[in-house]
Amino acid sequence: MDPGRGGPGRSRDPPLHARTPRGRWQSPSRQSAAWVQARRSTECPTAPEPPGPGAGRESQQGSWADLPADILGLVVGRLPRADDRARLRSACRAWRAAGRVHGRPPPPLPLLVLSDFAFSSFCADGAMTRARRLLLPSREMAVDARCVGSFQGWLVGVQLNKGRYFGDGRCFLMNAFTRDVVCLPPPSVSTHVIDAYSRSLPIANGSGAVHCTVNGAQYVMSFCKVVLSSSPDPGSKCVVAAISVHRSAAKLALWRPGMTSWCVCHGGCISKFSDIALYQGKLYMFSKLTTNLFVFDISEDDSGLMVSGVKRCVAKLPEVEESYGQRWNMVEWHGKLLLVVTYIGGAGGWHNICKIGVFEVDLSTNPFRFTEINSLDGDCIFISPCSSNSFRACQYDGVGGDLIYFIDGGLYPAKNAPPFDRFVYSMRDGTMAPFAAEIPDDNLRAFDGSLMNPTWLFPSE
Amino acid sequence: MASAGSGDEKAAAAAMITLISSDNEKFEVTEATATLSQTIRHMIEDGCTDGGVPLPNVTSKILARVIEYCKKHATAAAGEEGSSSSFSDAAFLEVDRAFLEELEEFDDAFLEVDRATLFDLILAANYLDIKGLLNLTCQKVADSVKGKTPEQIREMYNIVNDLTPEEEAEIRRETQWAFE
Repeated sequence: MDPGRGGPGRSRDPPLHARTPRGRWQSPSRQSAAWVQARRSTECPTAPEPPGPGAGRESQQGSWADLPADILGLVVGRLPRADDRARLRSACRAWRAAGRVHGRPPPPLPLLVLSDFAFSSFCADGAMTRARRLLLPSREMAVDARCVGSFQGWLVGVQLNKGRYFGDGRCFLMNAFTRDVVCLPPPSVSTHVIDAYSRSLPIANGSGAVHCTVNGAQYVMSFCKVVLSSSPDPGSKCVVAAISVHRSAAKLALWRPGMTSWCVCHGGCISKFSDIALYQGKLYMFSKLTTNLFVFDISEDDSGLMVSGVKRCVAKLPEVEESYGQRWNMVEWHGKLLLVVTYIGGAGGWHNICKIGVFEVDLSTNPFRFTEINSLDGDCIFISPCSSNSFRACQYDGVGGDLIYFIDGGLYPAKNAPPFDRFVYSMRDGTMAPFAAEIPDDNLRAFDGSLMNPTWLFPSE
Repeated sequence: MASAGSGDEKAAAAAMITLISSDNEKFEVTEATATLSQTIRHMIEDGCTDGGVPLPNVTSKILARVIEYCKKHATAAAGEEGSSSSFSDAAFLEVDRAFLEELEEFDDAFLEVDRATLFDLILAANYLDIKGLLNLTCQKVADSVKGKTPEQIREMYNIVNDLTPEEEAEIRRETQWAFE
């Protein structure tokens, strides 16, 4: 965690010596370069070099601009908010690179991106900042665009076709910080080159089948959640999985760089999905009605991705009295797959959530074993319909541990659904407290009153 | 701590190290105080501290402050080791807590310095490899820039904006989201 206060022999940022001194105290700033050199010299245990002329000056007023890059990295690592880091790095040229060269600072606290690309920063005290609008790469892309997922600094955007019945006409990945854009194939296509390749897969250990088609001539999708297996940087082999609900029919779509269309899957468990996650090369889908976890094996060949197998795994979770419904969120934590279950009972609103259960899923057993856990080793979990993640919060002063921040109402809420449940749950004592009350309910609803799903964004650095 | 067994703790405490600042001032400190600095600890381990440890990069003014910090935190470290052994009664924990609070107060007061001194303390903590002091001083800088604009940060730390218009435009593009 500590980016290495290594021994004195540790090599330093060479550009520091080369850089010309700046700032009001121009000449004394040379001192810091001398510092670096002299620090190296202490590696020799005998007779460190005698103080040179000028080294013994009473005050060594160096220029802050010349603070060694790895020390600046330490400072950056102590700024929990990404926007504070961005402003610090805008001060001067030297500070711009702060912490990027040596010892990457820990990731900053997440941001909450609303469906319309307005975002708020999560602060160390648990409050949310006033929302501001994230600029999209072009004006044209901003029309009817909504955010449906994230991975590290990347957001997934989709754009509705003109006319409501045509689904999403465009899908893109945008890095919220570098503003790089990766365009994905359109989620709705009517005249694709006809070289469709289909496959029907019976669901192992279950009933029904899943039908998958690559390069289908026609499909209409409207994405509500998109997940990525890794960062879509150039050359990456990331897998993108999307859940679509269009005219109450659900589809699953898969893509990886190089494919000119989505691999579109429907049928079987997909129609009753609750949440999806990409985890260790497989896709996991939790079914809403039957509390079953479905595992999709994904294979790759020259033509792109294809599902090569679907298996049903019965999930036996403890029942909670008086609970009439549950919501499931899958979250990766320390390389483990967790299932966060919200048990709902009584009247509406989070005050009537009767239990939160956090289960570690053991995928090595058959059937999978679910073990309830009561601690996250000081970490936090942030849950939203479009993106949930665990976060090492304890590294920042003031951020509590073993907390789960919810802003959730299920992935596909009904048209007149009650507001999102917004609360923070403490795994230590099982208590719940209000959270994100600063965000007006109206900001979370579209013009027609339907709920717009927010997305947690986790900048990698 | 320098000593492994409790038997020679006294001997270790009595072992004194001489630190020599850049302006040739000599400071006598206990080994326990000096070894908060990993740099000095390694020199002691290598047996090259006879005749004093010259620190050509630390002025007497800064070295005095650093020693002040190390003295306080060396006692704290010694206290912690004592408490973790077999004493676990409530009274002892109470004393411990009071001591930690006192230490926190000390740290707060210690950081009440001007920016030039803070800068020198950071470099000294880095050079001497005193993790606690480096963390403390870096935290101070981090706290001071929270919620500030780049212009305010430049003013606070006397930084000249050396970015070319092109670089500024690029930064604006990349960090637009971070500004009002």
